[in-house]
Amino acid sequence: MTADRVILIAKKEFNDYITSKRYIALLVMLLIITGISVCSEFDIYRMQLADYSTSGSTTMDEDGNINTGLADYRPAPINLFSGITGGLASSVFGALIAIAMGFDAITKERESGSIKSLFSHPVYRDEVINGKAIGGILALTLAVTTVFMITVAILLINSIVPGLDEWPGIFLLWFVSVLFLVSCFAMAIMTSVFARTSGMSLIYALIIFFAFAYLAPAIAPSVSGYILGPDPMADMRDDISYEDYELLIEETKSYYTSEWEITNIINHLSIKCNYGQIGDAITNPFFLWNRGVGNGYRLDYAEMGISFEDFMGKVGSNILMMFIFPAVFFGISYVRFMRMDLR
Amino acid sequence: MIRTENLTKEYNGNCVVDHLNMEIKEGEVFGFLGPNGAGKTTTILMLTGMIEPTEGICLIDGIDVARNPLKAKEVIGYLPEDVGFYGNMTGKDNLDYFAKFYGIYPDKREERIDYLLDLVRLNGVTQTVGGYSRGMNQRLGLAQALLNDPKVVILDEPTANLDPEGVAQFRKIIRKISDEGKTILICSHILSEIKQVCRTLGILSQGKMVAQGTTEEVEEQLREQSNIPMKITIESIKPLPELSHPDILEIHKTENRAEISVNRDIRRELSSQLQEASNGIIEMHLEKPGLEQLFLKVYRRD
Amino acid sequence: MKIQRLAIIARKETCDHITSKKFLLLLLMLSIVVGIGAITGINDYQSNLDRYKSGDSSSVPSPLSIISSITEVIGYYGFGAIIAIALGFDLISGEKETKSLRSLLSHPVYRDEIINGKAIGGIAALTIAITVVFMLVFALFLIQGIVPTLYELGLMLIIWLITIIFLASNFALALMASVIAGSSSNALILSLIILFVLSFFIPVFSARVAVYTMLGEDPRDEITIVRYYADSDEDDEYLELLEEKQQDYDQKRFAIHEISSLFSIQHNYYVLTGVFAKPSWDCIDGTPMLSLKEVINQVWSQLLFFLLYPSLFFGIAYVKFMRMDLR
Repeated sequence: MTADRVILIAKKEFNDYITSKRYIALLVMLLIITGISVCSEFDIYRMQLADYSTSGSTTMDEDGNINTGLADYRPAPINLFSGITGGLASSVFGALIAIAMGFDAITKERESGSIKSLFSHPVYRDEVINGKAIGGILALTLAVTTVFMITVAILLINSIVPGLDEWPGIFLLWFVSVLFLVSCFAMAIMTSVFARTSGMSLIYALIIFFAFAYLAPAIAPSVSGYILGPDPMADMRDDISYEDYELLIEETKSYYTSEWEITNIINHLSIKCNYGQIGDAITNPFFLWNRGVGNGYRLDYAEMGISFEDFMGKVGSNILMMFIFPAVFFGISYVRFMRMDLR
Repeated sequence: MIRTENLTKEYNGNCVVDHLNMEIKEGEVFGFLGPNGAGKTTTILMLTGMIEPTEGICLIDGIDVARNPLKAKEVIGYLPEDVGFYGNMTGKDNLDYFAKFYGIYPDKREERIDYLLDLVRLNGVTQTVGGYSRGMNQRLGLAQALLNDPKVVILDEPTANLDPEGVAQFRKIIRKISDEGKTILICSHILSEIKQVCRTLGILSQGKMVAQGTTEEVEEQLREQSNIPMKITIESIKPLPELSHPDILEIHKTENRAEISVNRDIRRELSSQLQEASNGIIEMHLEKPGLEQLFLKVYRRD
Repeated sequence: MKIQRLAIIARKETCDHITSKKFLLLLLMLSIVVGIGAITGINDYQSNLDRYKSGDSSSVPSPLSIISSITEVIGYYGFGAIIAIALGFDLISGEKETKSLRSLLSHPVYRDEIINGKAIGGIAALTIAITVVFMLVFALFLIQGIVPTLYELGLMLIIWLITIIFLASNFALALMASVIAGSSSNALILSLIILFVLSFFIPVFSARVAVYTMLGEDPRDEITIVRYYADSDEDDEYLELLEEKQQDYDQKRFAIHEISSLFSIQHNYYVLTGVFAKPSWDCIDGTPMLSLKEVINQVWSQLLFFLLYPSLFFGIAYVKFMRMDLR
């Protein structure tokens, strides 16, 4: 495999993608979805700003004393970027741009016969599949960069300027967003290598997307319910004593914490959940850090200071999964393509 | 049997078939020629009732195809170029599905299908059409065109995907159905094939019929249009004299042999000149430009 | 158009669908997800029933609440749209690509028989799929000893019918895309884009724009601040004024969202099935609180759009196919 040929193919694929009507239409769709999502975040941001400026947020000091405030958390410009994760991950439409780029990467060439022409020239199979992958990844990077640039522009127009310390987080979110779309793209390339027609490839890609996005979170509650049994509160009697009630509260708290842990493990199988988790950790730690709290106080952990170690502890495994998914999908595509019958 | 009057088809102001007048008698085997984009397929689609003409009419066995497409389809069999089937079904199932539209009873249908599969040498093939080779696909296409025992059979590039044995088989089948009295229209680029099988020809160019008739008539018509000269070759015992005639375009002469390009057949006049000179002619023959040459000239001109 | 030819095509199409890998795979997935949802629903139902029997709760649980596990998966999670679009997207474009359409049209059959036959075939296949799913849930009921009343069965039948119309809308959308688009893959993308416009762009984006341009700023932020700092009668009066303004704003915003949501096939499905599965139909003594007429009055606009969509999409598909260039 030589770099020249791979680059040649990657360049062609990249150009094909960014000049196709399909890519542009789906990019517009992506911008609309993320734009709306970011604008919804504006409402919440303004509300939190109003609440915070009147009475601050709920925090706990080193002595364990709770200081309550109207606001859930101190709003920061990075909160608005959760609109991007929301937009990309909330429905299939966000990931569709990546799926739509990959699903006919191989089937289209087989259907038109151009793959036979291509292989009649001095080029290796691995150069072709790698070139296609790189071209697609670059096109998706461009799409995500466009989304982020427009979001930053919207923020600046509204005189909301992210602080210097927020930019690493924004960059990390950009990177993880690219990884999310690359996972979907890799999955679609995989179906394109296996399927006989482009139409079937897209169907399989959508089915696998739904399986990897929604199946895990759908079955997680049932699985945790099966393992942990029913909610301890469900059996509460009206004539319960005060001490028993206190115990019940503690039991319920640990029940919810365990439920969250089990759900979290199962959700590692969902591309969408991994991405959403990392997105929450970066853009709004309040939501992520307070999951599994149940009826306890919801604290503004960002205000209380979160270290990098804390961050990695919460979402390190999710970040790992974000690398594993595309690697596995690409790996399967690669092996299959190398052995594919071209007739 | 097949007649068109001022048959015209326009797409976005572009005249693809331009006031075409064509007549094919019953029992004829008619070759339909023309370069790509000439309008052959569009004409055929109008003849088979799949698209409506912008102007004019086409009649098949007296039936106005545009007005009564279904009635016309019952007497037509059509093999399209790049014929397609339902890949998930067997050849027999595909034929059975199409045969149902003719209202043929199930037992008669089965009989007919078995006969046709035998005719095209696809009997006993159990795989689905998705796994067929191009040749098998083409043969099945011919079978589906003959399902309803049609009076008129229209074949678009029928031998395009066939190997030599397949081509020979095809010719046999064409001859057989022609002997049954069917009118056959074959559209093809393969001139040698057309000449072998067809008795009459029609040449379409830019939506217009530029020549129509028997092979000889068409060659003559094209030759007049194309200005490709004929060639008279003369060989004699004694050295040849100077030959002159207003219709001589060019002469290549050695002592005893001359190759003369002419506009028309002037062998009689040349003979007289040579007789006067008492040359002793060994040979004098006329070569007319072939259909291929004339055909190419028509393309190049257009 | 002859019924016999129509029947030939419809029968073939139905058989093709229900024997295809695509259909069986989607049906399997649908059954699994519905099954899981139904089991969770049944467990909730059983615990609610226990609570009712022990006197902890006064409302009778109904098996209809379990049916919402089906409608949720089909509507909210998008399975219904996926399965219906998957069946419809390549019906015409696929035949064009494999060149079988020309072969078909060379035989005595009209174009309208073809498009109608394909529509009937697809809807028949979808009906079979949904019936299988409903029967699965019903079997789960019987295994768990849950026996719906005749009345509840009637409501389930209505929900079944609404579900079929929902699937038919999405199917007709895909069929229309199949006729319009040049290739099957483009048809699928086009279907998803149209779905996006109807279920997201109009209800969410356009609604937001409409709310912002017609109603201006939300008074909520101002209320928060005024409420916190209010310490005089004037402030209280001003607060009352703001709260009235908020109420008015909320009402108008709700109305705009209601109207824009009508464009979403999914939302209409959700509302219609919700109405027939909700406890407003049930009462402690078993008689419904609202008559059928009153219920339809509540949801007539959703019903109208719900029935309009399949007709509109199919109408466009029909007209386009009749005029389609076969070259």
